[in-house]
Amino acid sequence: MSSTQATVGEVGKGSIGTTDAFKQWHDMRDVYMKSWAKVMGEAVNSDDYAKANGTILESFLTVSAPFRDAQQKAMLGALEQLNMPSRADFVSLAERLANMEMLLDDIYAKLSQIQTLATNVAPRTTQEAKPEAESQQSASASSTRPMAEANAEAKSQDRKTPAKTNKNRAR
Amino acid sequence: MACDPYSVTQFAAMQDKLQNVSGVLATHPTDATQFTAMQEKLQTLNKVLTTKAPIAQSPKELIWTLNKAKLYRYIPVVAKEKMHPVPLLLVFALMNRPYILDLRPGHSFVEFMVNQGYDVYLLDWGLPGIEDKNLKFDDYTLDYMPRAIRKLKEVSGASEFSLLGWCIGAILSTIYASMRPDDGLRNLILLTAPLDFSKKELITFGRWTDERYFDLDKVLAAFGNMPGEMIDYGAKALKPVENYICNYLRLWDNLDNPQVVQAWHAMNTWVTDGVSLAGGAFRQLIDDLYRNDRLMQGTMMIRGERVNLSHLRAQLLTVIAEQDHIVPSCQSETVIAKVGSTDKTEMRIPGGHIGVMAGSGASKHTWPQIDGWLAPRSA
Repeated sequence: MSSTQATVGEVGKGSIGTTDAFKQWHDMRDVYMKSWAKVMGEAVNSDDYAKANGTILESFLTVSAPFRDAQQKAMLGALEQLNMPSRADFVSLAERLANMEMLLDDIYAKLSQIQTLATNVAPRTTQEAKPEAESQQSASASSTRPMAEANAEAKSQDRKTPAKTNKNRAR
Repeated sequence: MACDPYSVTQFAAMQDKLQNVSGVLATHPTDATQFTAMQEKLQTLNKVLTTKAPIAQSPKELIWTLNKAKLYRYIPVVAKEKMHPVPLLLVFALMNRPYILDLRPGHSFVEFMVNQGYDVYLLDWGLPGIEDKNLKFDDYTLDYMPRAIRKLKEVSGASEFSLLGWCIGAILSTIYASMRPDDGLRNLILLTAPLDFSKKELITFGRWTDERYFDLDKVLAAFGNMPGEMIDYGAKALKPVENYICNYLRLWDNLDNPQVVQAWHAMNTWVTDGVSLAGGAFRQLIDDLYRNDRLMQGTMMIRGERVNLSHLRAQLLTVIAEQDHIVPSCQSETVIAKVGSTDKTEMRIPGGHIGVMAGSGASKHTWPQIDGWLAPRSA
């Protein structure tokens, strides 16, 4: 349209010196649209429009309600005859699925929490195990049991401690 | 017009005729040029009205779903050490698609915030079916949002987060923030929030849904959910001439301007992609809010618990669009006085309900202001 306007404008200027007719039309159109928009804006914001709107909707719903009910009953009857599930059956299933999804989400969140806690506890367990092993070693050394048994016990404790560490690392 | 196959057929037939005519007029170059220009315009018009624009292009990953709701995380583009540690969750309205926040490259709030170093998440409520007709604000605010936020915290590793709610999303965010103030919400941004319904003479939707004119029970009994087409009609009927006529005239006048055409195409794609509103939520919206203003009165009950706005303690920014005819400014002004937050700011920005965030001026007037407020509060 802009190229058309330019063409018309050039012709207009060269021949009879008038302004662009299309531009004038556009301006008139825009002014008309603005005033129409203002009038319509005030109209829709009135109680009369709200009442008319409500009346139309009410009429539609009232008129269509019997047809809707009849159609639903007929469909329900047909589905029962065919031994097929109805819309209500599917809706009920969908609601239960949504509830199950929510429970699963909660279970997943709790498992993630447990995993996080376990991961945080594991390094502490490793660090605590070393002083425990050392205290057990010193306790066994000072006991009245024969030295050989104490050494054997200390060695077994040392063997157990690295094994625990490996398990925790594997988690 | 986008859904009218008869118009599509008419345009296609007109194009064929123009092609034949342009062949015949090949001996008259000036007239042929004019017809070619017209032909190109009609082709552009046909394309814009019959196809969908490429929108929601920012890269994202789906990290959580529940029923129809989905939580997306946008892929960060800034190095991790330069990112804001507090993630940002975007919550839009229930009855429109949320990709208005990510409309098209170069004109996307999501893209802007991701570039500013925010860890951005978007909660998409999805398309409710008839099985969701009983979903209420209670479910959205106390079931869906806390679970989405729990996942957000798990993925981001943050214990605190910012929440941005727009339109009905702002209602849900306000209710959530008031009922769960200790969930880690640090910053709350409310965009064009319809919270105060006391000045009924200024709220056109309130007039239309008045008890005298609008039988809520009958509508929901007929449809289950509030149909998206009816909501779309309601939004457009507020300014019928602008939405049903001037909108298309503006497109016609600018068919040879690719920037305007692209913007129009993207916005029209979003406008025509409406969503139904779950029946329970619609009932609460009309009865509790539009008719009885229960939220501001302090009598709104969510799952047996009263919503007390004074319990809302997050740092608050409320953004008001000065030319908003869907949510007049009176609906967003009074929340500041009701909340228990100590850090609260009201920002007035020129623009309409959607234009304030998705219009051509949003990247200059709105987004930098939001970033300017949020950045120091996200450290």
